[in-house]
This record gives sequence, C-alpha cells and structure tokens, in this order.
Amino acid sequence: MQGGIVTATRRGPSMHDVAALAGVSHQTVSRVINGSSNLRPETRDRVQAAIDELGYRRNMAARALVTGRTHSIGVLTPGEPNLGKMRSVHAVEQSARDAGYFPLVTSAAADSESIGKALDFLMDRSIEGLVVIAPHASVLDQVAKLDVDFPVVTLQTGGYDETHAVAVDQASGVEAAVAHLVAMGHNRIQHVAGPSDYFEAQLRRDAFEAAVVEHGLEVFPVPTGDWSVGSGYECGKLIAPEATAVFCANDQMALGLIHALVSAGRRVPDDVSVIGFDDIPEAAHSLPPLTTVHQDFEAVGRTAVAHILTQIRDAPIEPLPASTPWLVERESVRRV
Amino acid sequence: MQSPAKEVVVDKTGRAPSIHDVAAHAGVSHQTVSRVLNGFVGIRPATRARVDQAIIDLGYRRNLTAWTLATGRSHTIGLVGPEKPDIGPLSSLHAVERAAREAGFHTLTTSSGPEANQIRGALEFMMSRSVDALVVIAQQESVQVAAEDTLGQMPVVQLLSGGQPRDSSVSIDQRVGVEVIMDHLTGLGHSLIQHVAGPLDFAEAIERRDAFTNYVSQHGLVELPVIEADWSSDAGYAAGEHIDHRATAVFCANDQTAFGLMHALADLGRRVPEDISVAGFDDTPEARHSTPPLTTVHQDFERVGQLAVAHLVARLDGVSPPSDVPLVPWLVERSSTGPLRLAGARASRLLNVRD
Repeated sequence: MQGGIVTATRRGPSMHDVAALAGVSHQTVSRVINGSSNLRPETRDRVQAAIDELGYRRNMAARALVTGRTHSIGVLTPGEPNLGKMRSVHAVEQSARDAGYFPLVTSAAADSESIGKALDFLMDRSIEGLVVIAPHASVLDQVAKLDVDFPVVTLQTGGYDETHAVAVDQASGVEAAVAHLVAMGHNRIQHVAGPSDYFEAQLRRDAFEAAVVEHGLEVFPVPTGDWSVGSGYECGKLIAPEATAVFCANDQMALGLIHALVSAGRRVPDDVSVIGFDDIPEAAHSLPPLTTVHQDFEAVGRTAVAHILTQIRDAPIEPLPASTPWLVERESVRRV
Repeated sequence: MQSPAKEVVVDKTGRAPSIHDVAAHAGVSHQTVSRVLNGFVGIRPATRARVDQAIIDLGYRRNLTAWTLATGRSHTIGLVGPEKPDIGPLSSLHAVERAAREAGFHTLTTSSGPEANQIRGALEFMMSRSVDALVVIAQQESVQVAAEDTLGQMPVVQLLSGGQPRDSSVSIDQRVGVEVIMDHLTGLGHSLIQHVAGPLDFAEAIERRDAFTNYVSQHGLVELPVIEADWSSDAGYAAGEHIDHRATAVFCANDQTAFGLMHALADLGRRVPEDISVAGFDDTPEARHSTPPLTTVHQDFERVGQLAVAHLVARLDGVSPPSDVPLVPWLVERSSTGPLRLAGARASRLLNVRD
C-alpha cells in the first residue's frame, strides 16, 4: 500500500487527524497547508511530518473555501454521446489544460431532472467555471434556472444568447454549401436533416429552406436522421430519383448516404453530388473524399475557456461573436 | 439530512442482513448478489429470481445514504482518459459512464497527456474530488505506472492497457483478434500480408504487431516490413505509398487507418478487394458503410465498460471481483477482403518474386 493510512471507516485521514498527531490545532495545520508565513519553523516541520506520516491529502473542496481557487472547469454533456458533442468537449478540455486548469466532465441523461442533478453534482465539486453542451432546449431551460456565482458558457445552442453562448454560425455554413452546389449547376437539391430536437439541426434545416427559396430551387421532402452513419444509410434509400445533389446535416450521415446511393447503382458524384457538414477527419478519406463545411471546434473550445477565464479574473467581457464555418471542396460534388 | 437508520431492516440478531446473508439464502456466491444488485446483464433469469426472492425474504437493502455516511463514499467513479480521444478510449469511456449510471454511480471524467507529471497531476486531481474508485485509460506505459502507484489508495481499473496489471484491468484479447483476421486472410489464399501498426508506444499497438509477426513466422508467411502509423486516417493514407508492391493483403491496426489506406490505394489505381484486400480492427460504426464496407474485428467496448464497473463495485463491496479473463473479439466479414487472384501480369510478377 502506498501513500496513506486509511482509518477503519475507510475515510482518508482528515486535517483533524493531522492536528492530533502533530499536537497542534487544526487552524495551525490549515495555516501550514496554505503557506502562511507566520509560523515557527519547528511547528511547520511537525505538521509536515504528520502530513507525510498519515498520507493526508489536502481536500481541494475545503481548500477552495479558503483560497477560492480550485483550478477546475466543469463540463456537462447531456444525452447520448455523439461525435459533435465529443469534439466540443475535447476542444474545451484541451484549452482548459493549456490554461492550467483541469477539465471535469460529467454526463447526464437528456431529461430535465437528470440534467438538473448533474449540474448540482458538478457544483458540489467546487468548479470555477462551467461549460454546458446545450444542444437541446431541455438543457438550456435547466441552465437558465442556474443561480451561481461562477461563469457559465453554453455550446451548440446555435448562439441564442451572446452573453454566454459560444456558437458557430450555422446559417452561413449552410449558405456556403448551397451556394457551392448552385454554382456547380444544381437546382434539384435534397436535404437530409439531423434530429429536430437539436438546435443546430433545426437551424441548418431552416437555413437550407431559406436558401431554397432565395435561389428558387425545387422543393423536396426532408428525410431526418439521428446524426449516425447508419441513419444516413437509411435516409439514402429515400433520396428522390430526380435529385442531383444532397446536402447532409453532418458528415457521418453523408458517409452512410453515399453507401446507400452506391448500393442502389447511383454513382457519387457522377450521378448524385453529396455535401456534408462538420469536416470530421475521415471526411478527407472517404470514397470519394467528402466536400463539406468545416466547423472550427478548436476555436470554439478556446473561446469558451477564454470567456470563463476573463470572468474569473474580473476583466471586462466582450460579446461573443459566432465563428464562421467554411467550405472544404473535395471530390463528392460534380458540375452539372 | 435523511436518517439512514429507519430504512435499514434489522434481523433478529440485531444486525442488518448483509450481502453474504442474501448469498447464503439464495444459494449463490456474494459476487452474483453484487452483480444482481448492480444491474448487470448476463445473469441467468432463474438465478436473478432466486437472488431477488432472497432480498425480499431477508429485507436486504443497500441503503445508499447510509452507505455513503458510513463509508465516506461519494458514489462517484472518476475516469481519466487521454488528451487525444481515439475511438477505442472514447467508446470505453462512454461504456463505463453508461454502466456506472446503471449501477447508481455518478461519473467524473478528466483527461491528461501521457507525460508522467501530467498523468500524476490528473490522478491526484481526480482523487481529490472525492471519488470512490478510478477507471484509467492506460494505453501507454507512463500512464500504467502512474495508475499502479495509486492502487493502495482506492480501487482502480485500467483499460486498453494490454491486460496489465492482471488483477486490476479489463481487456479484450488482442492476440485472438489478430489471429481471427489472419486466419481469414490466409483462408482466402493470402500469404503476402503487410501490417500497418498503431503507434508503437501503445500497449495494444505493440500487442497487435507482436501477434501479427508471430502469426507470420508460425505460418511461414512472407515477412514484409511493418509500417508504423498513429491510428489516424491521415496516417493510413500516408502509409499507402509504403505498401510493398508484393502485398496482396493489408491488416491495419484500426479501422481509421484502414479507411485512409483504402483512399490511398484508390488514388494509386488499386482496387479493393480485387487487387488488394484490406482489413481493420475495432468495428467502428463507419466500417459498415465505407467504400467498400470494411472487414474488421469487433471489440465489445460496451462489455468492457460493464466489467470495469462490476470490478470496482465488487471491490467497494469488499467481495472478490469477477474473473479477469480477457474478452474475446470476433471477425466481422464485409467486402474489403477477397480471395487471392493470380491473374495475368500480376500473377506472373508475383510468381517471379517468389522464385
């Protein structure tokens, strides 16, 4: 066994245990731990020896009460994990570590009660800031009820509130995709949407329908998937025979859709052009390589963490501009 | 605060029935009772019914509030993952989260680079957040060493660590996975099989590479250089130009690498599987829908997550954990592998090489 005498109750040794062993008050132990200068060296040595002997681990929650600093940023990811959420979480974690903070991630089921409990749970963990992946209205509702004295940032909301939402401008991404297809001569473009309870799926669909009107394109039914590659395959079976291009709400559905089209004897891009959204690493290596819209998850993560740190330092905050995604042209779109 | 006492049913000895009493009453092991209590699948319905009946007969109740007060436990499992989340770690972490939630535990996850000071810092941080137990994605030796140093302090399970340490890890048998793929390829007539490995400081990349080279020598196959990649589809693409011109099949250390490689082969004008077969490892959701759909090895990450939580819960309950026999992966045969064709110029070139 290493590092720590564990008492019969399996609790770790407390500050009081250290105080008893060193023959000092717990206030003295606390002053040693927090680096107070006003202590006699032999007292400090006795306390340090007791800490070493007991393997006392400083309780960070207790320390936070004294110093106000825990150096942790909480992250809540509700609902089933998917690639989009994971990329956001990863980007936040990376930025938090770069700033000398530990990311502390917890998950929850998508219902309001679970989300509320998970938020309470994170707040009990003495976090200095909170990032909530909030792709659904149910999550935002819980965030709105929060009454906390630390900064909160929401991601994947489509940017409903610029005081705490760090967003990617979904409409401009969709417009770039549709404009590209139109420039390549397409006017019969079908959309495969993501699940309608996701803000970003709804925003992409709304922007697509607006672009259809703006460019005077033909109107098709909109099959809806669940972001997964398997659902893209199923939606691929529903593509209208007269459609010459498909705009998919994410890359994974586009990959499944291409498989379905090819299986049905429709070549991509010779017979049907396909465009995705996200630019996942595999999009560069699908066959054909996928033309898509790049979302800068890393920039979102950096902005989210920077926004929190600014508030922790009590510096003035600026409104959060949505980041602009860009088109990545590969080989799944053909001129008609 | 709730009073814990009123919810605990006390028997005539004045002692609340324990998990051992339930086990004795049901005629099963205490591990089985623990598994039933923690909602694990894979228990025979008849056994589950017996345990449930014993729980009712004895009025056994694991009162979570009382348990937390008595033990100082927080009902939280800490997870430490890598800074770069590849599909294996991500799938494992999510499976642990789901299994933990089903067993009534919260999860807290943090991530860390593999450097010793980083991983030690992350483990310290996690232990200071009052977690009861830890799951560590320990793919690299530095992480494994740091995780083993924490063993005296709380229950720890290592995942993706190549099955080490034996008594506190949950793993999938990598050697069996490689063998089923190699049996499949040799069964199709291939003897010129090249391996694109994962980064060779990862335990599982080493295991797959070693299992591959052992298989090649044991079966007297032609030895071709092993290409090292980094699990990414970009690296798989880059590996394309290093594929030996004699190779008729390539076994990639994961699916992502195989996707990139198939792209490179297409750019080089080589058809998969007509000219060259490609196999992966993992069975990611995308493998079913790649062009062509990918033959691969299925790793049951869900089960890994369930076993990891079962292991920790058993340790917390003070009973012996379930056996640590590695899980067995299986072949998923799709369209990226095909029979060896020795037609036309290609055949004569191959035959010349063999001469």
